[in-house]
Parts: sequence; C-alpha cells; structure tokens
Amino acid sequence: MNPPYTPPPAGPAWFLQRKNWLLFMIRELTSAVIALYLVFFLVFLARFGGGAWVFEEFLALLTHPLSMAGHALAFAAAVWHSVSWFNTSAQVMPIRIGTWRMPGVATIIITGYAPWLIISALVFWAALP
Amino acid sequence: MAGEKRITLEIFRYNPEDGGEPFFQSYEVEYLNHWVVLDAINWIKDEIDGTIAHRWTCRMGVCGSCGMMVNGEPKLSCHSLLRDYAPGPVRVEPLQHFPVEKDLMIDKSGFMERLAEVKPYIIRDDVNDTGNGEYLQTPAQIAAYHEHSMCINCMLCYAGCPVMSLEPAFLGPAALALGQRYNLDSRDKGQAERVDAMSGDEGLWGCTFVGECSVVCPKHVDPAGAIQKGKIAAAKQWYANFIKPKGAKK
Amino acid sequence: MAETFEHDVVVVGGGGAGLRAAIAVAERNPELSVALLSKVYPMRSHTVTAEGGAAGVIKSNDDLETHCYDTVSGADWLADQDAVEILVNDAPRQLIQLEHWGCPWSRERDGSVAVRSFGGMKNQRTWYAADKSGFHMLHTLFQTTLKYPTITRYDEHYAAKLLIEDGRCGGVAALDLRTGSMRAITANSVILATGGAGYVFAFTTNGAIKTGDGMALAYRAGVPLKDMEFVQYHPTGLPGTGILITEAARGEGGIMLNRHGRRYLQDYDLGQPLEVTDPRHPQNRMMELGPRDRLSQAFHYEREKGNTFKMEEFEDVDAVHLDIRHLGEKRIDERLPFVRELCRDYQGIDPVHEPIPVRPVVHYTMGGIDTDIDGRTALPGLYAAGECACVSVNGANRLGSNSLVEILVFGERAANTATEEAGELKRPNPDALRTQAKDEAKRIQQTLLNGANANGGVRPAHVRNKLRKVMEAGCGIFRDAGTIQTACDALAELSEQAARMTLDDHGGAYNTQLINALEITGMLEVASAMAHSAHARTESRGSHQRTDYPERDDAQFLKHTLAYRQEAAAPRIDWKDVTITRWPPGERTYGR
Repeated sequence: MNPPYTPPPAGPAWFLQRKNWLLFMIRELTSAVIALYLVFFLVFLARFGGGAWVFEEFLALLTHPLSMAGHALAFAAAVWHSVSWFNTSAQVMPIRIGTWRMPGVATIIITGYAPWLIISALVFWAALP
Repeated sequence: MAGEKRITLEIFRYNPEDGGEPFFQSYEVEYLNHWVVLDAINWIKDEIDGTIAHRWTCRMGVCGSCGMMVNGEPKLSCHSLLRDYAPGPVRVEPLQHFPVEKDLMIDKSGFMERLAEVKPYIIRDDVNDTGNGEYLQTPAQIAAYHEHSMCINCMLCYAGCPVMSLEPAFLGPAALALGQRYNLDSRDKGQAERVDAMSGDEGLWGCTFVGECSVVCPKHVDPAGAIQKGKIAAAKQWYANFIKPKGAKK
Repeated sequence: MAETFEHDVVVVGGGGAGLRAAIAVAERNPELSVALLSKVYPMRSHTVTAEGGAAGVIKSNDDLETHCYDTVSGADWLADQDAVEILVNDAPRQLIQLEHWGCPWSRERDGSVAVRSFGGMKNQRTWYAADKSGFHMLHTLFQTTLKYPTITRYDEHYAAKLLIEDGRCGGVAALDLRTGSMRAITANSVILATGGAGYVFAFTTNGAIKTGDGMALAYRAGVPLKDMEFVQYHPTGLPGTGILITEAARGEGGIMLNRHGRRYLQDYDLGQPLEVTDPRHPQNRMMELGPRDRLSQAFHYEREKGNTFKMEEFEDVDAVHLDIRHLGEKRIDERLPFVRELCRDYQGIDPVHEPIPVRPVVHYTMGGIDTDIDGRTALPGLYAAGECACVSVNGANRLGSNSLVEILVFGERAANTATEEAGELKRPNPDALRTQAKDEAKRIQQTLLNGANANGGVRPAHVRNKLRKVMEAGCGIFRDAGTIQTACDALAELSEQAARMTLDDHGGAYNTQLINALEITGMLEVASAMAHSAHARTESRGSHQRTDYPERDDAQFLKHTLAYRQEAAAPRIDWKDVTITRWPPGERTYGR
C-alpha cells in the first residue's frame, strides 16, 4: 500500500491561491512601504541638522515628481494598512457588556476610525498656522 | 432517481493500493432542487461507483465529517446546495493541507493529536466533586467563551489557513481556539498548564492573522479572534512576569 | 494474519454512552487499560445531533418521585421501575459532573443551571445548552477522555464480530478502515455502546451510522434483543430531509397547527389549548407538551381526516405546521438558534417569520440489547449501555431528554460493573481469539471481497434502500398483522438478496462500501427482530399501535419481548416480566 498522497508544497506564490490570502499579503507588504518611508524620514532628520542650504536642497528633492509619487504611495499604503487593521478590531478586541456583544461595525468605528479621525484633526489643528 | 436537472461532478480520486497518481473522474448526476453536494456523491457511490471513499454521517451540518474542497473552497458538503453550482461542473477535492488517504478522505490523525496538545478540558482539583452542586457561571461568563465552544472539528479552517502549508507543525486554528475556549472559561484554572503548548512559535505566535479561518468556519467559531485574544493575554502575562521581581509570583 | 491488541476493557462506540463508560473505567481503576473503538471519530457519533437537553431534577419545585412517575407513565408502564429509579436518582449527579467537565449548560442570571419544559414531564427539569445539548455533551465528554492516558482510541475501526471463548466474551474482531486489516482487540470485559438503529427506517432523524451494529453483534452471539417493536416517531422532523426540529421548540412555547390553522392536538385527548399570550402557556404534560407517541399518532389521524397539507417539493409528503413565531426573534436566537439555522439552510424558511412544516420521523429505538440494571447481558463479559441497550427505562415510549441522561447514568454503571468483573473472570486464550478474528477476515474475504457475486449480484445500496422502505411501510406508527407479515416476508427475501451483494470495491484501504455491506447484514437482523416482535405483541401500547388490537392488554402483555436469533429461521420470541416497584399500571392521561 502506498503512503497517503501529499499534495505538492506551496510555492513562493502561494498567496495567489485565494483572494483573502492575497489581501493579507498586500496588508503585510504595505508595512514595507511604510518602513521605507520612515528610512527616508530619518535621512531627512539627519540632514536637517546640516543647515539651511541642506534644507533647501531637500525641499527641491521633495517636490520632485518621483518623490511626490513615492509619498502618495506611502500615504496609500499607510491608509490601507490602518484600515485593514482597524477592520480586525472587532475580532481581536470584542466589546462586551454582559451577554451583549457590540456589533462589529460599531466596535471598528469606536476602536479604530473614531480615534483616527480625532487624532488626525488634532494633528491638522496643531500643524496649521 | 428521477431528477430535474443535470450537473457534472469532477471528483478527486486517489487509491493508495493501485500505485497510481491522483486524477479527476467525472460523473453526471440528475439532481433534485434540494440536493446538496453530499447527496450527489452518495448517489454516485450507491448507483454508479461504489469505490469512492468519503466521510459523512449526520447530513445536518453538526457532525463535522463531510468537509471537502468544493470548487476550491473549503465547505461542508452537506451544506452546499448543488443548484448554487449550476450549470457546473463541480470540482470536489479532499480538504487542502492534509495528506490524502483515499479519494476524499484525508488523514486526520495529526489534527487529533493537536486537539489533545492544548489540554481541552477543565483543569482544577475538585473537578470530580459533584456534592456541592454546579459551579456557578453567569450568562456573561458563558458569553466570554461560548462562540469558541461551537467548533465541530470539521477542519475547514485548516484548509483555509496558509500557515498550514508553510509551517506544517503549526497547531492550527481549531486547536488553538479550543485551548483558548478553556482558558476563557471561568470554571477553568488550567491556563498555566496550556501555556507551553499554546504560546510557542508553533502555537499562537505561528498565526500571522490572515483571518481566513474565521471566514470559512461554518459555525462562527471565530478561531482568528480566539487566537488574537490569546496573543494579547500571552503578551500581558509576559510583561507582568517581566515587571514583577523574580520569585514574587508563585 | 490478525494483529492482536490486548486491553482490560473494550468499549465499542464513541458516542455519549461509550465515552462516559471509558472515562468511568479510567477513573475507577487507573490500572486498567481501556480500548475505545468507534467506526467513526468519536465526535461524529450521533449524540452530536441531540438538541433539546437532558432531564435531571435540580430545582426546588421539582422532585424525584415526579420524574419517576412521568417516565413510567410516559413508557406506558413497560419500563422496569427499578431501572427508572436508578436513572432518576443518579441523573442530577451525572449532569453536574458533566458541568464540572466543562459542558456549557445554559444558565439563569445568578449562574445556576437553567431548565426548560419538555414533553410528558410534569415539571421543568431539562438541562440544556441552547439547542445543541447533545453536541456540547459529546464534545465535552470526548475532550475529557483526552485527560486519561489509560484510554487508547481505535478510531475508524468497525467491530465485525464478538470474540467468544469458553462461554464468555473476550473482545472484538475489528476492521481497521484505513488498511482493511482485521484486528483482534481482546479484553476481559466488552461494553457495547453503539447507539440505536433508526437508519433501518427510510425517513429518520438518524445519521447514516445508526445501523444497529452493536445490537446485531450481541444478537448473533445469542443475546436476546428486548422490546424491539418499540420505535419512536418524533412528531417534528423537516419533511424533505427528516432533520430533527427539537421538542424544545414546543417546550419554549411553539404550537402545532393543521392546515386550517387549528391547534389539532386538543382533538386527541391532550387537553385544551391556552392562548400563546397566556403566561401559563405552555402547560406541562398537555397539548404540545404531550408525549411523542401520542403526538405522532395525532398527526396520522389528521392526515386521514385531510387536515394536513402536501409538500410539493418533497414528493407530496404530508405535513403540519410547528409555529414558533410568537416567541420572537430574540428568544429564538437565544434558546433555539440551531432550529433557526437548520430551517434556513435545509428548508429555506426563517421560523422567525414563517411556521415550520414538520411531519413525524423515526427518531429512537426504545428496544435493544437486553441488560440488567448493572449493564450485564446474558453473555458473561459482555455489557451494554445507551440506545443500543434496553435496561429498560424507556418502555413503550421514551420521554424527550431522558436519553441524554440515560447514556450517562448507564454508561457509567455498565462501566463500573465491567471494571469490577474484568478482574474476576479468567482471561480467554488469546490464540483462540486471534484465530476467530482471522476466520472472520476470511469469511468477509470469501463472501464479499472476492467478487464471487460479480454476475447477478445486488448492489448493497439497493438492499439497504429496499429494507428501509419495507420497515417504513410495515412497521410504521400504526401496524397490523397484515403490514407486519408483509414486512417479515420482504425481510426474508432481502436477506437472501443480501447474500448475493456485489461490491465494486475489493480493496482494503477505506473500503467504505464493504463497511456499508456489513452494516446492511446487521440492519437486516435488527429489522427482523423488530418486525417479529411487533407481530407477537397483539396489543397497543405506547409507540406500538396495532390497528387490529387497539387496546392495551396488561393481563397478557405487561411483559418485555425478547427476540432470540435463530439460524436460517425467524427469531424466537420469548417474554419477560416488567419490574413494578411503586407505580402500579394505571391509565395514561395527559391534559386532564
């Protein structure tokens, strides 16, 4: 008698097999984009100490179309990453009062979107002259 | 069987005794409106080809035997209406991520071992002392673990979890959810005894939170939620131990 | 070659009774090794589908005496009253034990266990875990068995034959489904806990595994089957699939309506209905909370009067309505979520908004392997418990929620006896047992696997389907000498056909067709015991209603039937007195 049949192991493109696996992979990869942006930001901070002319040079770099595209990408990645994590909060931190469980949408709004909006508003308020 | 409509089933075949490779075999079935995929497989086995091997018993979605891949999705075959797959064909395969014993029958022994590993029973000293009546447990205390106690061991979540193919030693969604079900039970005092099995890299931390287990679960057990709650509890415990001076806690 | 595995106790069957028995042996004597053998994985066992709950006196407004009387009168006085007292007295302890092991029983606000009303019970005493009581009980028991290192599981092993040597049972010959090899699993005590035989009927709530295997094993070994004519029709199954809609639906206040919208049970001596808005509704032991036999019989009369309706999508079968809409969505979701799920998934209706079409469906075999109150059978070394056994606590009609507690009480009790006696008897010669297992393998090879019937043979499924229809037609809710005789003749004919069964699959690995064929030969034995017992009992009692003998006849038939198998002949029917302790036979009344 032959041993049980073992299906071939998953290849490097395993995440293409199912839609939710792919969405998971995108969520994970967005963190790489955010990490790259943070490296860029650190470089910026390091350079900032170099004086006004360095800052001018950096401003020029920032307004370059490639840089603009990179920032847009990083922003999109950050939004996607945040949203995809907010949407899991009902599973990770369900809110219960007695036997009543808060509906998932409400949990997600309370633990995710609402603080996000409030903090964003505060940041805008603080950043605007 | 006087059916109304026809559909073709493509069934995965593997026989360990004939030395051959797996293949798909097609069967045409006349079916009634209320037939599920399992009805069609049973009809084929009864009337056309008795060599097909598959598991089933209750045909009402609670025994957990008849899980299989239906058109690539992990499903209870007693719970999948044929008419939803019209005009077909319907591709029926054994559950993904398990060795295949024969046709649609997978090797469940690894799963059974995993269940035992998380010590899925109430652990406390007076568990056999019935003289003082029931342990009190309020409806709110039940609610803390109840959904995780609804698992029928159908293993669809293992088929939905990509970690199972990347890290075959992973305890997996159902077993971890079961351990967590007892950890969250107010009657249980056995959390410490489950830590070793549950908190390793092959336990809770093996989960990357794809979340698909909870999507494919037919009984809303939410293993993904159970595991994340387990991670939070384990992390809290780790910090508590870190902050407290050594030897202060038991 | 038959591999031999030696243990002290073998438990055949991994449902509620078998798991409870295995735990009991492990608890009582950790020195003994226990083999737990099942043809499926234990959590697939049919206990998993039980919905409503388990009866045990726990509340201060209830008492043991009333539970006993309800059970005895529900059984139409055919239950052995010493056994009933054991059941009732031990029930609360067993249910608390299960609670301690983790069963998530539904609770009151203060955290104490909640109970609900059930058919034929005077007081509320049915413990429940929403409407998945059996599921939670089975999984709790199974998970608890994982604690005990002395329990060795043989999952997916089919017990083909009892091994008997020196006049006593010394194990089982079991087919390992994975490889198809025969194994001799030997022990000093063998406990059968294989469940009932509802699958010998065409329309049943029972899963495909409920083929009466253990009954057939014992019957072939010369042990009599008791009260096999008593088969319970549950009044509320979904019309197409036979899926059970729990009695708890009525315990919570659901009502039965005919096609004119009338609560027709008032026309069958079950009392007068109260409005569903009346706080006293539902009333225990009345109307919808009458016993199952009477409700199923009422359906039959309604059909004769033309008061049922036809279900076009299910080959025009007749049905009535079970209406739970007035309970409201919140209560249905809290108490009956599985009912809602089943109705949606398998009937395409939502019981929150529509009444549920239902019809009577075969649910339970009151009869079974004749045992004494300690689980012993007539064969030394062989014990039985649960639905496969007949102690008897269910008599002519079981009350809902008594069976889930019966498996606990008598599962443990049989195990205790088996544990005590495992040490007393001399262990049979293992070589002789191994030879018997080898012979059984040879017999199966020669009769079923060698393809001898390739030409002119019969497909196993055809024998099975015919058998199930024969039983439905001949031994249904109402029988008479004619229908029963027709069934007996048809069964004899089918037995001949079964000897010519042809398999497509001649292999060893997971030959499920072979297992089906073996099950079918057992189903035929069990069905024959049912039909011939029904033929011999010329009275009407409980679930056994003879239109040619419509009255209960205590003078002649306050007795159990015992069916003994005879080689190539109809079973011999013998009689055994019912044990009466404190409740002399009386009129069985509901609703007044």
